[in-house]
Formats: sequence, structure tokens, C-alpha cells
Amino acid sequence: MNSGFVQEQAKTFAARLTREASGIDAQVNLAFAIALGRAPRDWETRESAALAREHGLHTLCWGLLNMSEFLYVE
Amino acid sequence: MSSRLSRRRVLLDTGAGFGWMALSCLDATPHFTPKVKRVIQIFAVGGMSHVDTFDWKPELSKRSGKPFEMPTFFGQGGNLMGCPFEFKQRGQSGLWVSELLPHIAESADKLTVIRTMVSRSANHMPAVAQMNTGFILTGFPSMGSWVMYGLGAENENLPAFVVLPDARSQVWGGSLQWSNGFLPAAMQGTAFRSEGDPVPDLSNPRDLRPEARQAGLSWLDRMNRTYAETHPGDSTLDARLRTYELAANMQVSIPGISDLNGESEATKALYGAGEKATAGLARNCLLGRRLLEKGVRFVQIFHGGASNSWDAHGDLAGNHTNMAKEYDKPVGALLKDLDSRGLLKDTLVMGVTEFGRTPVSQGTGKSAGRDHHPDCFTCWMAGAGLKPGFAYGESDETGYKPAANPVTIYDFHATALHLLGLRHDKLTFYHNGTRRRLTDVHGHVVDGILNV
Repeated sequence: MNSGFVQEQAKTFAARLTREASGIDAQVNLAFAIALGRAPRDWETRESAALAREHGLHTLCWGLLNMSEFLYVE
Repeated sequence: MSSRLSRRRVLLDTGAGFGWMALSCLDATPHFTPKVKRVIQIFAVGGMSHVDTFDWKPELSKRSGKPFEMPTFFGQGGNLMGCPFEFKQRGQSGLWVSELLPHIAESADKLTVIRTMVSRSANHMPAVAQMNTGFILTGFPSMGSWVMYGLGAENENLPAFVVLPDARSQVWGGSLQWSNGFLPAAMQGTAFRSEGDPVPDLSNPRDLRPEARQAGLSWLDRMNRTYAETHPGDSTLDARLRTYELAANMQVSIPGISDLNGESEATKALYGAGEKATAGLARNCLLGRRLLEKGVRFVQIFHGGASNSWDAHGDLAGNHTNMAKEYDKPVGALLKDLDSRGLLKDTLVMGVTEFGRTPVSQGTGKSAGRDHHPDCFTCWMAGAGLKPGFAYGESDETGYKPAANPVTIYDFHATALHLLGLRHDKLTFYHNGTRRRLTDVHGHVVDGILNV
């Protein structure tokens, strides 16, 4: 989670979201679809949008890349 | 998420979930009053020759060059080969130690040497696996994991089971040798790197502001907790949650421990930290002592790996001279240092190897080595609860087989657990229909080495 590689990927991921969707909620939706293959639940949208607004989209992307759900395929 | 009533769900709801088990054993208690609280194991990788280090066989020297029928691993068995090194009796106890290990020999009166170890495999990988897990197949929990399972952690800010590999090459099997197997994932060994930062990527990333990282972590914690709750029974998810907490604590605790600059020059010199041959193991032994001081339960140090080891198939004298030069001073220093700090009173030191080496040569002349020999070899222990300055078991006159009192790896493990206050037949984990043990269905505590 601290490695330079993950930081780079998070930034690239964020850049893609900015390119392909407009508005925080749409970007959160797209982020969940790309990373987890599902739509966010309501509370997830709320919390994720808040995180992105406050600390930048790349912070959210960094979190997504470290999620158990992302790292472990069911 | 699915509403199916899964087997995992039932287990969890009836109060028998494995996450609970993982947590409950972090503050586990021993079965009876222990003699030692922690363990440091030094693994001589490749197979240290018993007849050239701790098991003096004058008859082998006398019969050197004479034929001797025995099966060998590579099937190139030559004639008997006497030990090229000189043996001496040491200390008050008169324990026999060869000239290869002069520094360790200075602590002879603290050592308990077992000269009749028997392993089940003549092949490196399974033999190392048996010494670490009790089984010659991989996938079983290592001894460090069992000890963590049985006794829990003393220091919440450090992993309870730390592995210090040789910087030059990995042991056969790599991280399988410190695997948690089927025990909860939080119990696997944490391998420190031997150069640079011991734990890679432990420091915060430069391009993420601390407050952003903190907010991201708290977001991540909520996400991961929800995910773990919907996947009960998967201990890797619990382990991940715990890992994040531990990692945050380790950001504070590790730099202080791994910085050896605080050690006195005398201590560093004692370990041979500044000498080329000993610098690597000296660093790990020093680090190991510091980890023990901070309450790490089980430290495992590997001396050697697959590409540089005690595996003297050719040039036994050259190989063992070089390996012993690397091994002797740091390990000898560790024994003295632990003793002078009072740590030997409740620490178990274990000097192990995966097997010994044949009394017959492999090859001839100057290039003569010795082959793998699991039928009889030497391991040693030091610490509370043991008879100090004592050699247990007797090999036959050439060191080929135990003549009396053979000690299996199961017995060795049972005895180590006993010193830790754990009954090897009671320390079990239910897996695949069986109550699994470190000692499988075997093992007897070796009463003969206990100081009662």
C-alpha cells in the first residue's frame, strides 16, 4: 500500500476516471465498476464521494486498490 | 450479497467461527508453567556435519579409508572419511566441540547437545520442512506459528514470529518454511529483509499527504470490515485487518529496533559485525536479540540458503571451514550476549540443521565431501530447563546411526514445546477432520535433557 508502484497506479486510475466520467458520483460509480465489477451501495457512494472530494480522487483509488474485495477474487 | 445459508455462516452464528479462534489465541496461555517464554532458532541450512562439529568419532578417523557399506543420497558413497578437524573438550563440562566452532565452544557449559537426531528425509526441501513444521510435505504450520497459536503475542506492536533469512539466498521452499499452514493467517512468520529497511514499504508514501492517507485508511477499514463480515470464516481477511493495525504500529516500533547504531562497539565487535565473513549473520543475530528483548515470541534465523550452504558434497574441509567462519562468531556472541543480559534464563536457543553428513566420503582426494545423512545428526539447545554442558544420546562408532536414545524431530519439537509450557499432544487445531499437531501422531518429550 505504501509502494511507489501502487501510488502510480492510483494516480493513473484517477486520471482515467476524470477522463471517462464527470461529476464525483459518476466517477465513484465507474471506479467501483472497474475495480470491483459492481455498483457501490448507497453508503459506499456517500463515503467514497466524501473521501474523493476532501482528499482527491487518487486517494479513493489508492483505497480501492488496497481493498480485500479487490485483492481477493471470490 | 447472497442470502444463502452457507456452512461458514452457520459456523459463525453458532459461535464457532474461526475468526474468533484467531483472536482468542492472540492472548493464549500455556498449559503449565513454562521454563522459557521465547525462542530463537538458528538454522544451519544445507546439513551441518555432525562428525565434524559436535560428535567426536575417533574410531571414524582410525578407520578412515576403509570400506563401509551404506546407502547414500547420490549413490556415490566412498570409504569412511575421518574428520579433518581437531576436537577438544571444552569448559567445565568437557563437552566435545571441534576447532570449527571456537566461539560457540566458549559457551559449551551452557549447551545441551543432542547427538542422535533422526530425520525422515535425505532431501533438502522436505528435511528443512520437517525441522520447521514436523512434516516432510509442505503446507503445514511452522513451529513459530504453532508457538504463536499456543502462546500469543507479547508485544502488540511487533509480529510475534519474525524470520531473518540469509541475504544471499533463500532456503529451499522459501516462505513455505515459515508458513502458518492451516492456522489463522495472522500466525505466519514475518520475514525481515537483511539489507536496507527490514520491512519493505513500511514508511508512508511521499506523494500522499498524511491527512489524506489517514482518511483513506479509515475509509479502507470500513470497507474491509464490511467485506470480512460478509465472508465469515476466511481468516485471511481477518489477518489483513490485523495486518493494517500491526503495520501502523510497526511504523513506530521497527525503525528503533532495526537501527543497530545504538549498540556499543564492543557488542558489535563481539558479533563480528564489521568483518566480511560474519557481517551478515552478525546483523541477524544482533537484530534477533533486539527482537527478543522487545517481546517477539519466535525468531528464526537462517544461515545459508539454496546457493550457499553447509551442503558439502565436495571439499568438506573447505566448505565447512568457510561456513563455520560465518556461523561460529555471531552465534557464539549471541549465546554470551543473551547470557550476560539475563535473557538465557527464559529464552530457548535452538541450533538446528536439516540433517547431518555421511561418515563415508562422496568423491575422493582433496575434493572429497560428505553426502546427506538424515539417520544420525546433531542439534543443540541452550536455555532454561535444560541440562547445561550436556551431550545426550550416543551415535555408533562411525556416527552412522544412533547407538542409544534416538531423538526424532517429533521428540525435538515435543521437548521445545514442553519448555514453553505447552503439551505437544494438547496443542491441536481442527483441520480437515483431524486434530492436527506439530508432532503429528508421534513425539515424546526427551526427559533425559531436562533439568528437573
